[in-house]
Amino acid sequence: MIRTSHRKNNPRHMQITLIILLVLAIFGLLDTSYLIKKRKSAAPPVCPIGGHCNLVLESKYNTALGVHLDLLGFLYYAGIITLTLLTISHIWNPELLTLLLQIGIAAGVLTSIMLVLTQWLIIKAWCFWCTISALLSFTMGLTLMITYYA
Amino acid sequence: MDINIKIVFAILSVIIGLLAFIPYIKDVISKKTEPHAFTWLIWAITQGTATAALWYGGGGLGTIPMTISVTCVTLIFLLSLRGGSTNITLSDTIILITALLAIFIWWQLENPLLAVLMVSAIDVMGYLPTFRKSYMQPWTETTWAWGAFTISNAFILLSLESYNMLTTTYLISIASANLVLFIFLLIRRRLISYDTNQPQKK
Repeated sequence: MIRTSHRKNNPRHMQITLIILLVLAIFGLLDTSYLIKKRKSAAPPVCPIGGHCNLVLESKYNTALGVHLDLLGFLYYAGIITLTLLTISHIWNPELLTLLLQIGIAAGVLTSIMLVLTQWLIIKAWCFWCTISALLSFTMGLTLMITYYA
Repeated sequence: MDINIKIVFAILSVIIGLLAFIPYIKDVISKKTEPHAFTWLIWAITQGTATAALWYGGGGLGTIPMTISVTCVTLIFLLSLRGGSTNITLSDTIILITALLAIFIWWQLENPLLAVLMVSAIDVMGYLPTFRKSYMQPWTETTWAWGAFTISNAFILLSLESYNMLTTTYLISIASANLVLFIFLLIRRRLISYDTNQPQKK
């Protein structure tokens, strides 16, 4: 059963967690916007620590159901930002919003695991910006898990 | 037998760094120390990037101390989510957002010197929430650990093979910030204990 009760946790720590989730999601939004911008302008993205960003970004695995993954990522982070802001502002049922946030982030973590495995085992190349997006998802998942379940 | 003094300095820096991290983590677990989550999150990202670059670039043995360090930093960030400082203000959030925006720009820089200057500034920015928190709550930090981090940084500086802006800027900036934080904590602890020992005016 997913525990959404705020009672057993320090409310201040929960608030800090929500701020961290919000900032990480904004970071994710920037990351995916950069990839969308580069794709639209047909310019290769900067690969800060090397790797083969283009090999990954131009592979057949860069879409899901015909939609580019950078766009799906952008929508995912926009959704997390909306849910986090709604939870922080307490304007609607916070328990339900927290549950939705947990489900959303869990889905993001699972998708990120799949995409990391695709880079590692199938494409055999790493894209810096895609890996950062996966790491952001993992950090958000860990942050939420530690605050709610540890 | 020829012993390379630079290797000795490098080993000393790793040992002292570990000697500082382990008790710091122990203090966080026992709730004696309350780290500021934002500070450690910023450092986890900057050090994580540097470590990934080293691994990817084939840094060999040199990547091991960095990997240990980034593991400890990440662990402290995760521990701070449950036992960290709850003294977090709007200014801290603004600093976190600014630092993350700067990291995003830093990743796109192609000039190495500019990148080093930028990451040094970001890491120093990471200290600000801890400084602010420690002003009123200097007891929530393991003071001597910051002194040990400074010494560890000094030994890394001594172990460098060449000295130039690229190799020294980052190390000098974090060593200075660690030293300033160490002195700051000592002064604040003394001032606060002095204030509380003064007879109350009626």
